[in-house]
Amino acid sequence: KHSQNKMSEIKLSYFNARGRAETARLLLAHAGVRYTDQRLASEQFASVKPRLPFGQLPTLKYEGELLCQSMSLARFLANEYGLAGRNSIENAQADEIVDAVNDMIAARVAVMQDSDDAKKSELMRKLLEETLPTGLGQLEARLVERGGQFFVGNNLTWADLHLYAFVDIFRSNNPEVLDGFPKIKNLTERIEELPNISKWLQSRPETVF
Amino acid sequence: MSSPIWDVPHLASGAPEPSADPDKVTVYNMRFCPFAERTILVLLAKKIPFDVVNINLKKKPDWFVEKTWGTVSVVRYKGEYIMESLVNCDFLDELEPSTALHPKDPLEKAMGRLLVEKCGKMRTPYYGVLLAKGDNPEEVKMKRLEMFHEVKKTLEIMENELKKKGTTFFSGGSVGMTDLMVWPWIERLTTAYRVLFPGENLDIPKEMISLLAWIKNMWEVPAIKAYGLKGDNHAKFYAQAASENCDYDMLLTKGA
Repeated sequence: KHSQNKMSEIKLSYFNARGRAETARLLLAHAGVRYTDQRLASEQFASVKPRLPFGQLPTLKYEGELLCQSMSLARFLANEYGLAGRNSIENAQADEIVDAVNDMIAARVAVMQDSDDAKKSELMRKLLEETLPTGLGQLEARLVERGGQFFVGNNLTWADLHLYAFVDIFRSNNPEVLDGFPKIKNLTERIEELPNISKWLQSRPETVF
Repeated sequence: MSSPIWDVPHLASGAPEPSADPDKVTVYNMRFCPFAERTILVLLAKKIPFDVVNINLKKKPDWFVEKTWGTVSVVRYKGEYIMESLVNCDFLDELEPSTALHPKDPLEKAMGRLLVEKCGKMRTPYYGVLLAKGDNPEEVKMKRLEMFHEVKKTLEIMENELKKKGTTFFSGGSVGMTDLMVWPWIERLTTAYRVLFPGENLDIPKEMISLLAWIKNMWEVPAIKAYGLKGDNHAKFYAQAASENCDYDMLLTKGA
């Protein structure tokens, strides 16, 4: 299905961070695909921004086509490399999980972007003690419903990787975030043990977020 | 007024090891180190006479690395070097039994030690807040907030413990070992964060009235009054602590 691609034919561009690009990177790593993992400094971003279709990163250059929007390009990669589910229902189930994770990401971004420093501490408390545990609880229940191994079709999909990417950022600051969600915790551990993922985790640059 | 015995230059590699009176306690210290502060506070609280040798931790003297485990505090006494702040504090408490900081009751003592261990969990996120860095300032701020949320978990444990006990100090009516062992990090986070990260509200929540009262009372304890650092001293130290030429002697040059 794929031509023997040269590294330059696939280029993922983002900041030097996991953030909104890590799901795509996990997909590419899992697929064992060679690509350029471009990481722009803020000044570089400032200069390319006007030329970007939506003024945002990440972007994915794939065999001549420039794709934007982190979720779209991740979904594209998932489809290309067989991690989007095996039929339409499974595609939708994976999308559902991704959307649920994105609700939690959005909640976190809302706290980050709130300029009222006096409120922030309370917003953070609410995020860490209410919003995230609720969201993780709902995902845990969904995972259990599906047999506890993976979120969709008893096989790895990008839904699992997307949740992993999110949890990975949180855990470094709040190590107990998965306490109380044993199935999700177990899933993250199994993802880390997948050979291609493990290799990526060991070699990727260390970033704050 | 003569300067305190701990306001001496931090010795770096090349400086010889000072001779020590074997029958007197000598502390190998670093003025801003929270672990070493435990030992100094115990000595002051127990009114044990002592000498201080300050160590430049970025350029450690060879003798310090060879004769100790390379970290402060170290108590040097009768030719022996006693490492590990908790160990040397216990040693000092036993050396001078008349001014016991540990309770006599073994159960009470054990519970106090458990609390000290529990409060140790605060250290990782405490340093996490101080050391958070990255390209995106918004994300770094988030990281501090998230880490501080972890710090607050320990603060809550401390608050609940004080509320449950109903005493002024963790050790009861007067300050004891438990209080002194957990104090140094509280001293730092309550003074440094607001200077380094103004407006980010990385403060002890005002609802933690028992803990806030304890902090107020601790600043009145003579040992802490003498050795503790208020204002922006810790902040100033941390702001440049990562640099190769970290100025451990900043309090000395200030006084000059």
